[in-house]
Amino acid sequence: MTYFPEEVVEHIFDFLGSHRDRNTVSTVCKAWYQVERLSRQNVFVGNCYAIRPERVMARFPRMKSLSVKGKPHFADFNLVPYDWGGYALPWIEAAARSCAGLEELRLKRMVVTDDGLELLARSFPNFKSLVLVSCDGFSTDGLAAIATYCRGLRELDLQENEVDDHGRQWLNCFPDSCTSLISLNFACLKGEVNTGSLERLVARSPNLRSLKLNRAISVESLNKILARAPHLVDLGTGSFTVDHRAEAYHRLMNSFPKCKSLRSLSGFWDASPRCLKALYPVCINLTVLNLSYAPAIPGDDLIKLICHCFKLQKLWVLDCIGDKGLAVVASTCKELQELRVFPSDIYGAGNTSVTEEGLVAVSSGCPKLNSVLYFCYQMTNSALIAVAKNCPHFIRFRLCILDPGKPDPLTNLPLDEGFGAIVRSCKNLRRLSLSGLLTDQVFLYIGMHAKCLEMLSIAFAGNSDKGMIYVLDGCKNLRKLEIRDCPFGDGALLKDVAKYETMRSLWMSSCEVTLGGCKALAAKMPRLNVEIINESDDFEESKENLVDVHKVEKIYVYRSVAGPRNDAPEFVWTL
Amino acid sequence: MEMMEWKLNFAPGASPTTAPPFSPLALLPTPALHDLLDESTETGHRDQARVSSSSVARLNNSGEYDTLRKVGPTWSDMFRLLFLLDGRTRGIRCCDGNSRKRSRRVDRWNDVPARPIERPHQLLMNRRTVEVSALVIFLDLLLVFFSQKWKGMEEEIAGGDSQLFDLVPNGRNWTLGEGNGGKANYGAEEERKLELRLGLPGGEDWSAVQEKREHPLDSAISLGHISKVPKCTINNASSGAKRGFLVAVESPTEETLTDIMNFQQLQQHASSSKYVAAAHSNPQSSRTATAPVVGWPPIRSFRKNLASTVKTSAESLYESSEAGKKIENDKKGLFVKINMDGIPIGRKVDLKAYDGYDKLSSAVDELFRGLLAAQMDPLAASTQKKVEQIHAITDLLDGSGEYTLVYEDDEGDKMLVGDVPWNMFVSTAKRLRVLKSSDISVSSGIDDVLT
Repeated sequence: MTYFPEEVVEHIFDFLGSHRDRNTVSTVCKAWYQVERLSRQNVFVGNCYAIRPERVMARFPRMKSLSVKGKPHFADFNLVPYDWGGYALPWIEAAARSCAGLEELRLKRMVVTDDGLELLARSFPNFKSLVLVSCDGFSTDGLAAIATYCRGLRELDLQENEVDDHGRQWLNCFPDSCTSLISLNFACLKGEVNTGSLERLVARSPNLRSLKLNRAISVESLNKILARAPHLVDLGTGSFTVDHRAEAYHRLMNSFPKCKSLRSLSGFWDASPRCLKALYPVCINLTVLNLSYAPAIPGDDLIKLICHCFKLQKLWVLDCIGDKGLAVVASTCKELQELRVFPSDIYGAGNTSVTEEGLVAVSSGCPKLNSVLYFCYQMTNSALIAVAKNCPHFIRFRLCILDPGKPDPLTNLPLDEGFGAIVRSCKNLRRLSLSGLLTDQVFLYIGMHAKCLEMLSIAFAGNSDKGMIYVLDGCKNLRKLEIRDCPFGDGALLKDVAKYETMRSLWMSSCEVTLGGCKALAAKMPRLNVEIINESDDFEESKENLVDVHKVEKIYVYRSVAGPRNDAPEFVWTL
Repeated sequence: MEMMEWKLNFAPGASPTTAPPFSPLALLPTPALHDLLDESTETGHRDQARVSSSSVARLNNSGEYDTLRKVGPTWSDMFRLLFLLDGRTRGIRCCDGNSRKRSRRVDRWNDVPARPIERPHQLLMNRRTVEVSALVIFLDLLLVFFSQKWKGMEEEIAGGDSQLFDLVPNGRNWTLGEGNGGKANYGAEEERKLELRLGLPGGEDWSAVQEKREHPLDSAISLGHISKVPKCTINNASSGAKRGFLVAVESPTEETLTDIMNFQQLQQHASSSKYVAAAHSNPQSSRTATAPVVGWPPIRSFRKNLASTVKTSAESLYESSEAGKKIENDKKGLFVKINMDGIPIGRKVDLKAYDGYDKLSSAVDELFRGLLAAQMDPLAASTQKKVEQIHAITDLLDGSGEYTLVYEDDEGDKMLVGDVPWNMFVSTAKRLRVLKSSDISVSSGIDDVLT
């Protein structure tokens, strides 16, 4: 095969979908390496500090789509200091220098500045798609730059970003010639938007399929938008509240039946139960329903709505749905694949919350369920065993018992057997989050059975180093391991240091790891960046004086071919 | 003055299938203890109750409350409490030292048909005092005996894993969420005042006697030991009988014996089973949990803010526009049930629809006037004309009328309507009830009793 013309090899490579396969073929020989690198269009960088952007651009000069991830996952939960890093600008600059053909940029958990967005907007003539997920550092001014200069923009997707609001004018910046929009998501913006501009933009975008509005968009505007874009497939509704006596309410009732292509709904920020009735005509078509931003909808109204959604594949909902509601989901949504149940009031009494019963009901009623994120106040071993039996196809199983370290309330035993049943039964499990009272036993099970596991989140679990060792020994495909508040120490950290080179990252916070252990790890494995994050004030002064037995608050270990990063703030110390 | 606070864990509804481990608390007259604990439960975490220094008042023969003393859920306090009961005692009421109720409470509990949780916090211990005293002395002896054994067990376990009983590693877990200052708007002065009232009324030298009596027990019966009681045991002890204050202290010896047996089982178990270790390490983690743990639960911060922002925005909408009112009304929790004495039919009222007590009382009048008339004279109600002639239900609020409006607040207490600002009333009222004024005995707030 080596003597095939390059064009042929390249054509064959086109059939390789996954990045992993392409990585593999590029290691076969120099010729393949060349062919692969010049033909790769999609590049994914799982950790922005694992490689320098220049090197990525030099290797894949013809890439069209770049995805970069920044901060560790625990940054979502405020465990990573605000100015830890993860800056997008170097990536945009490097791409602007060497990859003028870039059409798509996807950034996750990165700090994106307005300057960066402006540079992005001006540097790539064919730029089509910008997707920012959980990013911060920019404002609507940056968005205005994107709107102004990216003439052929098809997708602007802002998911759960922290965006500074500098006024409503950014939407005006889409030029009249901009008619190419397919997807527009600004649901995370807090401020007002210019609804007139929005309506005009929607009206001149015949290809618009996905539109997610923010909370500032009233039902009146929504009515006008739906009238102009009845072909929408994916809609984020905006506030979705209106007095039922108002004219807009009646128009809303008439708007939805015309949207025959709607498949996905989200938003409902302030939705009043009465307005939800407008959705009933389209429910039969829905495959995706995200009600998790709508704390104002009581459980009974959620149930009434879900009763109509027979084709639902993905459901995100707050726990006010209750076990009763989940039973309705189980009996209605036979196609359900993904369920997320978020807590509606994490500090409250939890009267309305869901329990193990709801999860068991859904698992028995929805045979296609393969992904779960479930927040609840209690879970039992028997329920987990039942879930494992009912749904052996789980790919993602994330269970969060809000009270950390809570045992099975029926038996007062740890949940080891329950999670053990999950990993035993779900052979394809790739992502697992544990919670509740857990001993080392559960990690033994995970190490033994979870062969496909790629990401494991552990909190308040385990008894000794053994727990972590079981996981590191057993889970051959583990890529990300994040641990907090567990009694794992240097023994576990240093048991198999070579393992960390096969993983993307390891996060440990509030564990028993000492400075000496981290130093030893860094010394043994030069290609790992061992970062210590210590926010306490006296840390800087005593840096030199710290003894090795000093426990480190947070460590973040990742493999890197770039060496220690040069943009680390003071409280990050790379060993 | 330092406010002492303990955390105990209640697991309502949890029914352990395994034999409950030994709990020293179980040796005590459970109604008294649980009553104390429950009474001082702040409306907070579902099954985490903060027990702070509590006050105990005694309902005496003349139907008034004497302040007995301020107690905490320590062994010595429990015992003191028991010794304070005498022939004059008709009941005990406990009050969380932190809750500062200025309004009057209605003491007509038994008339209110309700779930057990709404029952009065009164211990019916009259005429059992002698039995109880005898029991206490018996328990004293038992405890001294078992405290020795217990110590032995502790050392045994601690020898295996010294961390098991180290419930306060690094000392950080004791930094509790709200801190002492948060909810405790309890002045140090006030606290001292309460402290001075220790002892039996009329018996000023009680505390001295108490000191003596307590002394031999102190080694066993101290806060330190209480805090070493594993969470799960407290759980078990309390779960069965949350708010079980009306359970009389009947045949306690039997209970005690089973507890002792359980204790011995536990002892044997301790050396072998790892689950005990797991269970023991549990309170440590759950204590960390109640203090706000950074990054737990693992929810993105914008989601955490979601509920609160929605609420505030809805409220502002409510204030700014008429339309908002409708939205608010659509939300649940604003309708509360209302019942009236002598009328079998309950109604619901929307508190948000009224902006003051006057409107509420006239609404109550409208709701029940006809029903009341029908109840009194079924024939009269059959004709519309006569209904209108029936006199209105008036003076619901000041107690001068035939009926008085009371409400159950979010802590389950029955309170007179009209004592607190309207908004506070709306936010705390869980149900309403119209009672015959003649049936109501009003006790002034517990704080008045105490100070």
